[in-house]
Amino acid sequence: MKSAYFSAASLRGLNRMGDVFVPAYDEFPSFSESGSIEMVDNMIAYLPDEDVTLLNIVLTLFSVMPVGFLKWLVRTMENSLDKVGTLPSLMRQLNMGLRGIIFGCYYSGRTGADYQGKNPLDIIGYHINRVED
Amino acid sequence: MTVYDYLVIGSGTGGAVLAYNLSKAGAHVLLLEAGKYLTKETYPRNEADASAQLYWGGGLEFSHDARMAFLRARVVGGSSVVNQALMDRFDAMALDDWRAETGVDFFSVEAMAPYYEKAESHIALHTFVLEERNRNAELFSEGCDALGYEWKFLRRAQSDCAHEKDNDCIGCLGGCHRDSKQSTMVVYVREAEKFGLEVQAEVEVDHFEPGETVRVFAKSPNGAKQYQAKNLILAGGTFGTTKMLYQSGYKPKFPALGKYFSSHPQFMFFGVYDEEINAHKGMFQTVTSKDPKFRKRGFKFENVYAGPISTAMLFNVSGRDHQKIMRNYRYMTCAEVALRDENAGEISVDKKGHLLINKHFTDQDIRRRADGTGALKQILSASGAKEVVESRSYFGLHLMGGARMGVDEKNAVVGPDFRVFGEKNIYVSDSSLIPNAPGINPGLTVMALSHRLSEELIQ
Repeated sequence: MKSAYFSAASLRGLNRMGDVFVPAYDEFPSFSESGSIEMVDNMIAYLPDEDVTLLNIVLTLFSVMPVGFLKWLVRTMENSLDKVGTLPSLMRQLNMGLRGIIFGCYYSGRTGADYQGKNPLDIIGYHINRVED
Repeated sequence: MTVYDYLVIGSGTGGAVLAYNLSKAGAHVLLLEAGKYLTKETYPRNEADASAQLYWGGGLEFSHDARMAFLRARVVGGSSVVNQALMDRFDAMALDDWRAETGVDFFSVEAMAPYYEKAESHIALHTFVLEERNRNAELFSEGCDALGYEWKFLRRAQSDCAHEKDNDCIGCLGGCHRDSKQSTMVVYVREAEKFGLEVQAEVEVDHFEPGETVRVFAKSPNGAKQYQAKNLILAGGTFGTTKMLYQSGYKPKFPALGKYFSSHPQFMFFGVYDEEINAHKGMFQTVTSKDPKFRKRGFKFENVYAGPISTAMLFNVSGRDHQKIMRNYRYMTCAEVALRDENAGEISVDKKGHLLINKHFTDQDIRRRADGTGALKQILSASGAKEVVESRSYFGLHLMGGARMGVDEKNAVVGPDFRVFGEKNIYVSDSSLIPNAPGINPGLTVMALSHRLSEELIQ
């Protein structure tokens, strides 16, 4: 896929980090298997330009980091919740930013064009009835 | 260049009321809004798009230390498009506190009553009844009953939510698709357009220059914009109005600018059950705590739920732990503790124009949080939850203060006549003028205050 905002390396990095947050487990497809990354531009279009620039840098790094490092980073981000200082603040920002993009794509209800499995929303049983008239 | 009688910045519960009343009275009014002009046909249809399109920051904004998240709507209609439209008057405890702290004499139940009546008479209001509770609400009220705590049905601004057709109201958190929710877009902006109101969306005001004719400088997708008006009304909300005043050079004049920020911090708890709850179905928020003991102790509980993305965000876990929680999505209830927090937060703006939000908890806030979360855990357990799970993330939905009203410019920015001190034709009418946290949803009160200012301007 192509993105208007992210480079190919950034998209690879996002898929790799996405799989740490959402690995294949039970009925759930991994983040990359779901192909939900294809809707990422719908979300990124509304972010401030400088946030997109920073994300591109960070995600590009994720594309080459060992998976073990990515797992360590996620644990560190999650453990930063109650800590004081500049580094924990940055970790919390990164954590929320990544979670917003990854979970936003994964539970958007949209999956990739090549994905044949169950939609994550079907797996958790989320359906809402909109009566519009 | 057109010189408007009134230029109103912000289309939420403050600005839209004024835009309507002034247009109806025959004034030439321009309403500017940073967000998009969307309608029931064009509101997003899924949670991801709604979060990205209808909120500042693409969904969430954070305090400077990234501990607390804030949700701030960015759309014509402001927060009234995305909130739960809960409409409560303030009680004597809230208004007497305001009067004591600010010296503004119309902060009283009696003096505010005519303006509450005006606000209420303009919208359809519905108080929920027993048969409208979904299972989430049933279990919450059963838990309260088991412990002897009082609860009540919520009053909401809605006209026809098609409950009998099994409409699921959680969808309207991304904008109501049937115009049942009485957002200011539905009940004020579109009505005001019939009286000649001009609306320009996707225009973000940077700053203004005071004078007999106020000049306003903004940016839009089409480039820089300038406007002129005889009167300017700032209604961009706590962050927006404070930022505009900062960028217009008022901080040296007003030490109080940006101060006294409060946000009713909310802490969410989930009960896990063996039975299927489906908390996202039906009328998904119908009851709240009413116990006077909780009011005195500085918190309240609301029985709520969230879409899958928000739920995933609320739990700070990943991998299989995350998936196990999401597996339970239909088996959980949710309720939140909303604190009546102290107004110790501060908003400032850096040289690049970025908002810096400093929001820490005072000792009193910490005590109230511990007290409230302890009581809420008991309620969820008493309702039969086999497990109670706490979200460690917390957020503020009711952003208040920053340009507060008072009688003394040493500790306020806006006088009792809603004018910025020292300015004849620059007014503030939104949640930024709130002096301290009331502990009650502020939407109806902001509307009532805007009716009061409307009356003064029209006279």
